[in-house]
Amino acid sequence: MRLALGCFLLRPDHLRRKQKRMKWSSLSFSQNDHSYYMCAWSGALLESSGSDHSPQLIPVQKLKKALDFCHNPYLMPPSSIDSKESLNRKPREARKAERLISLCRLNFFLARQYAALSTPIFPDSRDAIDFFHHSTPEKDRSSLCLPRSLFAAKTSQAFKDEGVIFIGTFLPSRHMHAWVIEDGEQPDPYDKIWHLYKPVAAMY
Amino acid sequence: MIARIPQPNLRFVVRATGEVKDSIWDELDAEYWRQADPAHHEHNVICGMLNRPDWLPIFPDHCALVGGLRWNKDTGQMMEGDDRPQIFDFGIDDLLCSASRFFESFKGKHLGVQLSGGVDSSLIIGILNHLNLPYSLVGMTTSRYEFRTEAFIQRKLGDEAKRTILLNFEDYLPMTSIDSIPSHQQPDLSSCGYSSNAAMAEACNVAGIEVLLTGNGGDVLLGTEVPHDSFNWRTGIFNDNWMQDVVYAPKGVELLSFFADRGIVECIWNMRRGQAEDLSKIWARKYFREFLPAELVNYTFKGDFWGLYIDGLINNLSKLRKIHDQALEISLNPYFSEQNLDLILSNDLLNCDQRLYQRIESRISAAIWFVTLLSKS
Repeated sequence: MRLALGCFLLRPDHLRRKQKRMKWSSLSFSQNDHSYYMCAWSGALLESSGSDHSPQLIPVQKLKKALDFCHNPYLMPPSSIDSKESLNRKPREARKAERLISLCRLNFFLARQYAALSTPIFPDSRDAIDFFHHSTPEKDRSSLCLPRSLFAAKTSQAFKDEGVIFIGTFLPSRHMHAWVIEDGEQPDPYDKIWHLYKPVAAMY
Repeated sequence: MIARIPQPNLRFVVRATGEVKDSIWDELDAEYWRQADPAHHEHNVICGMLNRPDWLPIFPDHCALVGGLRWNKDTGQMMEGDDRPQIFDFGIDDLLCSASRFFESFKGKHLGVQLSGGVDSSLIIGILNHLNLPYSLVGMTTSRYEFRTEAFIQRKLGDEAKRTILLNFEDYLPMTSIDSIPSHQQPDLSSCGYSSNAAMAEACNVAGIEVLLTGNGGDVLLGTEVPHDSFNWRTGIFNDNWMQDVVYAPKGVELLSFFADRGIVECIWNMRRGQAEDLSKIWARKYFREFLPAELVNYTFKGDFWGLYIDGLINNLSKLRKIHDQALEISLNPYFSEQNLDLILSNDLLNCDQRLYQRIESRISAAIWFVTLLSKS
């Protein structure tokens, strides 16, 4: 522990700045006399009876803008599938993807913390997600939405200024999904379901 | 005597002789309903519409002869018709000609289109606009989050129609009002969606709409793989014959699928020959771009009906239990035992499990068949 702290203190300033915690915003909402929240620690969807939810003020412009795109998907530029094979040669990044997959299974909060240690290697989330897709089995695509989004947050240079991870729920099923909105677009061309999920929390 | 409703789109083959009968109402009056097997109905629902030749007969001596099916005397089984179109070099003008011929057959009638906000119904509307033909729109709408893109298109297209009637889906969820269904000759899965269709049929009746076109079959024509030289579309299933006979016809409305028309099928098959599966209908969005709203050309968002199905089931659970109990009382068939229902309902109903919902819907549609048949005598 002491060694790890020492390493942190010795890091140059510009790297230390990137190691801030990822911000969390609850986007709780009410529907049919129930309020829905997401637990920032466990990642569980919480429900309480009664419509005690009051509309929230969203102070961060980046989040407000990204949320507008979620609510009005036709405002976004259309996405296309354009694979970049050259990105598929980064073993260290592939290990980060694997680590995030394991952490997401283990503990939601820890996965968030790991993703917050930003190591931007891709110019944007589109490239990061494309890399993630190439590094993970296609059959697991739908179940890896959270590690994929956290991987984008961790490795995309543009994410810090323009990106937001949303976690949404599809009621009444309680199914959940995570996706990224970055610079006015949803950067995962294979994600055909994100628009079905109502945002309940955001990380940025 | 059982209250009879004409079902001209449903005929029966006598298995022993191959004779085709227009109905089995007389047999049902003679308590033939006691021999109906609800487990076979469940098997058929799970088998799906694409495997109709594998269906098991609900009645021991008769097989239902519905759209596109033929009776094979040699094997004593149903088979799909082979209606492979001729190969031509088709283009957009040919499609417009076919569409024009199709619409011409309803000349003088008040034409309506079922407005869903998706690609299929929007294409019908776009072609009607192109041909400068008047029409009205009828559809179900909802403010659910997952349908916001459909609602957007519904609003946009609704402004262009002669008249637009949008009904609130929340008032007509699946499984609602199923005790109002008229008696019919055999269980049918479509009965679970009775409520919304009954409301649309009533709306058509009030608005004077005589023909209501649906986009059923668009998913197949515009989204499935099209082998270069073989034809595997089951166009006979595009028209919902049960809904037409039991729900729309009594209101003076003809319910028809635009994509079931032979000319339209022939054009699109030739246009798409050799294409791979295209579930997002990318080809159709680009090819028919001049007929579609820009949002449908450039984006592939699609709503999801699971929320409506789940809420429909959960909101109506107590009524469905009652109907199930009544079916047991009437039929004395252990298939409708309380334990069987409890077993199936003990599953997680919120989990969007298609197989589970098929089992529930087949059970409910079988129960409602027994109940309506005998309570409406």
